[in-house]
Amino acid sequence: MQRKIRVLIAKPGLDGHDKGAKVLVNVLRDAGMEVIYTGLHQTAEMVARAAVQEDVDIVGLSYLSGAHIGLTQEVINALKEAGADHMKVIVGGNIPERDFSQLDTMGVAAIFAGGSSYDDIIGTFNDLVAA
Amino acid sequence: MNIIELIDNMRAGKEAALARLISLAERNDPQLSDVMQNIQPQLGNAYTIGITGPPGAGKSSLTNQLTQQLRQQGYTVGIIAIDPSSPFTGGAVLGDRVRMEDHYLDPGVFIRSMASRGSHGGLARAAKDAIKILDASGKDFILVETVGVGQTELDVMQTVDTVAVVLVPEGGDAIQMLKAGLMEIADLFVVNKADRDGAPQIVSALKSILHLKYTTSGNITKRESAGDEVWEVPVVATQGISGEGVGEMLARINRHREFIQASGELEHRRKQRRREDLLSQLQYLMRETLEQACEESDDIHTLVNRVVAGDDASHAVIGKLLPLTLDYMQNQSKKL
Amino acid sequence: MPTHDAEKHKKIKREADWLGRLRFEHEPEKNLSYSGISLQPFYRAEDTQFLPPPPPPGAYPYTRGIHEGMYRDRPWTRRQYIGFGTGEDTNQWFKDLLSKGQTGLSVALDLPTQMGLDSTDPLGKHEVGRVGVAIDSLADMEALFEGIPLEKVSTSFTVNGTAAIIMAMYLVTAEKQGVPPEQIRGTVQNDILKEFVARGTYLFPPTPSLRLAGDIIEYGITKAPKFNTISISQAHMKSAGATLIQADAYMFANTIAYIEEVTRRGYQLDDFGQQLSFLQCVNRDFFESIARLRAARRYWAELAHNRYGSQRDKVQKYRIHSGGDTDSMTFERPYANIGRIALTCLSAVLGGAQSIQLPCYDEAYEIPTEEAIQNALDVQMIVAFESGVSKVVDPLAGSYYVEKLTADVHTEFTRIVNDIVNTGGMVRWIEEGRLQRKIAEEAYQWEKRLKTGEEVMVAANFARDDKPRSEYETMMHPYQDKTLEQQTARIARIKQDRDPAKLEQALSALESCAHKGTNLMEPITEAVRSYATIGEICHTLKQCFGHYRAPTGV
Repeated sequence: MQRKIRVLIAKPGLDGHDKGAKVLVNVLRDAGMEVIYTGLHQTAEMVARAAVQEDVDIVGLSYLSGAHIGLTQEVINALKEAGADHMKVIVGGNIPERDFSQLDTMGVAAIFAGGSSYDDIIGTFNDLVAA
Repeated sequence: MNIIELIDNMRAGKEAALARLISLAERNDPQLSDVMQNIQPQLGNAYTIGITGPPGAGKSSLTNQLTQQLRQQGYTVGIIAIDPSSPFTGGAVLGDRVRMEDHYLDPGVFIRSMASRGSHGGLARAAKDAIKILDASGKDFILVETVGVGQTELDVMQTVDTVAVVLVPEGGDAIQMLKAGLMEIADLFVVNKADRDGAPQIVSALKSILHLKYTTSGNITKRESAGDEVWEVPVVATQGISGEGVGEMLARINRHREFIQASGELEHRRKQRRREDLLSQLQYLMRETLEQACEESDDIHTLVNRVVAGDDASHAVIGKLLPLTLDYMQNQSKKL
Repeated sequence: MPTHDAEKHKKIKREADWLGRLRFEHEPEKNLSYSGISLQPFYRAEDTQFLPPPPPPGAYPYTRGIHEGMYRDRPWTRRQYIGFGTGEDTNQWFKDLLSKGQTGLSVALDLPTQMGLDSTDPLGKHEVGRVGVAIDSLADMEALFEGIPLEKVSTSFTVNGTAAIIMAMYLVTAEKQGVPPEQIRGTVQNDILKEFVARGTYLFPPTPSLRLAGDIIEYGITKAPKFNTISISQAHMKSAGATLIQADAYMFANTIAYIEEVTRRGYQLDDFGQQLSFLQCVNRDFFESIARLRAARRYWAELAHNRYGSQRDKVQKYRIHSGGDTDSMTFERPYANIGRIALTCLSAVLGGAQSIQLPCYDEAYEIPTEEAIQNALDVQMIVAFESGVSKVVDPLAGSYYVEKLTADVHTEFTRIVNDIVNTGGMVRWIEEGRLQRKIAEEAYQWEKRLKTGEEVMVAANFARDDKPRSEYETMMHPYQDKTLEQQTARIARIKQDRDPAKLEQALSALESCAHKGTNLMEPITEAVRSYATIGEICHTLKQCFGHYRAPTGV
């Protein structure tokens, strides 16, 4: 059986706008990946535990409310705690450029702000797993 | 990390190790045979329950409720939720987790989603291995959820101890599922969403079909009987969202467990299953090697193509093909 | 295949593609409105000859408008949706806007408030005061409206899961200002069903959620008769991916569920129908937008009259709060959004909306800045007072195209709503994830059309430039880091000041009502009066109603 890219798409925090997350889930499925969607209102611990149990390659976090800095840090900490710091963390949604460097420093592998092309996202995911 | 370390970590309760071992099974990793041999002494302690039925029957909600009850009784639970892969892209959306959110943070529950990945027999093998790995990790109960339509899903259900087939009142689902062979594998029927119109009707229809079966003695297969006693497949009505009826469902499962344990059927089934597993693995491997032989060996390729083109009857080439393929396999097995 | 064959094959395929394209461009059924209604190249008198001409404005079924004089008599209410930080922060902004031309208030609440969590709850600590104002207890509501005369202004709250608590706080605040609840005008969104498919601010399973929504409507009948106890919303389902017409129809299917939740308690639609309002956005397709508002008025009037036997014209009159949605705003070249906003406003006005709230040009980035909100308000005033469109009521009536489109949209509403009602109704559709699946699929299709360029968004997928986003980010609304600290201090203060015995009594009364199934508004109001926090009230209710996770649809 061939190696499949496994991805967890999560919505940490209280924001309930998940159209973008759901569209991305479909896009990744159609690119041949196995995608697990956590649903809304996830805490960092919930995201990390799902990522560990599902042994995913990539954890994608989607935000629209502006709370991405604090929540991403929490998820990264929780992944570390769970022994899953090898997983690549991707952040997407409504992310201003002024926050990019801070997310980079935390160890986020890629950032896709609103309006990013799906081809770019798929390409980056493939590259990250191949690397 | 080597396999022994990984297995030790799994036994020490490290979820990342357990998850990684399941991934090895999923990918049919070369190290898998080592893994399976090493965990062999730890197997046989978990009780496995299959939950299958048509899409939208509420299987995930039922699995969630069942897990709740098992946890209240102090048991640990492993869940394998299987979703189909897209036949066009090979990708999959594994969405069942969402309905099990109550257990996301419960250390006594491990949830793993698997995609069918479309290969013949591949998922069934991977799922069976995943069940064993969860067993070795020390889970008391393993719940396996599939959308029961294809051969693969039926195969998976053949490997669990108790099979619950879930149906819903509306649509022609019930009839379709019975046609698809679920009647034969069910140890109990669950009519979910029992608050809906038509629920009592489907419960009584199922009961009368089953009754007919037991009164026509010729239809009782070996696996259902224990000496003079016969396991009469019960029908339970549930509401997956509120949890109503799930207690009874679990009670019936437990009764089935006692029944097959007392009758020796459980041991018999498990032995049968090991034999079945072995032979099907062998068959799977041989088939893969055969496909490879058709590609790689010119002699075999030529003979096969004559049949493909319609020039020769298959009967005519078998005599020459058999020694060639056996030779090829022997050479391959030396490389293993 | 030999090479020359392959070449030939390619050539044939190229020609076929070209012919296919040609046919595509000339195929009339490929000319579709935004929501998929098939359009003709032009319309003639024959296309409308079998349609009964709509009666004049102000007459049943109100296709042409619910008032005879419409904007000639009274301009629409201009509201912009704002809120951030603490009650004091937003209070300042409200006063400022009221002095600059706004005629109603529309409150944005932060996510913890909408989800029934106190600012001190760790689940929401990154969201306090971020997308709206933080309300933890009556003390915050008092600060929010300090110095604003509540008998004069009407206030709209975008709140659903915690609508009952917010409404109770507002009425108690008014009471403390000396204004009795019967005089209070305002709106709570209270449209909980759509939260299960879009936005996600639901707290309990669908059935108790619907009961609570019904409790608010029931309470309003006698206690707050001038209050809109629900604003049934189409806009969020559109934002989640449904087409505009689908979202309209889903809104009506939700409406049926709310009405029947109240009528099963022994009321008639005529008892409370006047307090229902509707939020229906307009977007992109200019004429389809206008046709949708006209068709929706007719659909509602007929539904009220034919299905529920309404005899009161005030009930049959469909009052629309309209506007655009943030999703149609682009990140790229945000000033292009001002063009979109102006078209949105014009179509809402030509469609006959009662109040309008526009998205702001910077809203793709974050919650809007003061400049962008003023700009949206300016657009509204230009349309109202400069463009001259207010001078004649329903000016597009009689247009072959608009009348035919209105009739076609009405037919679609009927088809979709009947389909849902005949297959178990909205609660079942939500529990089974059917609606979520339909909306998610539609969202994916739309993204595919944007990607292929079949649908154009100027600056985003058409006439793009390479300017980095950072160039526009200077316009972003600053987040108040100190809000969490301030709210934490205030919660500590109220907890110290309040009477614990009174609080205890109020919360246990609330719990017993929740179990008994009686109306929850009175006990919630009592809890609010005793300065119970939103988290305490919701925790009490969750004990009884339980936790629920809706299917996602993917």
